[in-house]
Amino acid sequence: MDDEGFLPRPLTDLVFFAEEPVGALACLEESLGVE
Amino acid sequence: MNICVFLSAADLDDRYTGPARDFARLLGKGGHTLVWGGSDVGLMKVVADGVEEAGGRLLGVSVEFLAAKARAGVDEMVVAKDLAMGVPPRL
Repeated sequence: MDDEGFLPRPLTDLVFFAEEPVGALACLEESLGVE
Repeated sequence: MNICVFLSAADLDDRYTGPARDFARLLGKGGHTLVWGGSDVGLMKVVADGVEEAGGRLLGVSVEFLAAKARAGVDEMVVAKDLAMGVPPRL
């Protein structure tokens, strides 16, 4: 995707890959505090 | 918080259903609302079941031609007339 110029920002800015379910939910709950 | 999921409709191995169920229970225990297409199969059923058991809310967003297959007993089921983009329902 990066080679094709498809990513406006790095993939890691756009997607969070969680190792465990608790990590996914923690990421979501943390995002509530970010404007 | 409304948390939307997109998941496989297939009946999958424990390797997938296990983490899906764990995530669903955390979602429910956290008092969040599951938002999904309203279907009752595959990983979506696993997650909806888990959220329900853990006391979370279920908010399905379906469409008329699939409404008969939608999960019963949810807190809210929005049924769109079709798939065309119009004014989105306020969730």
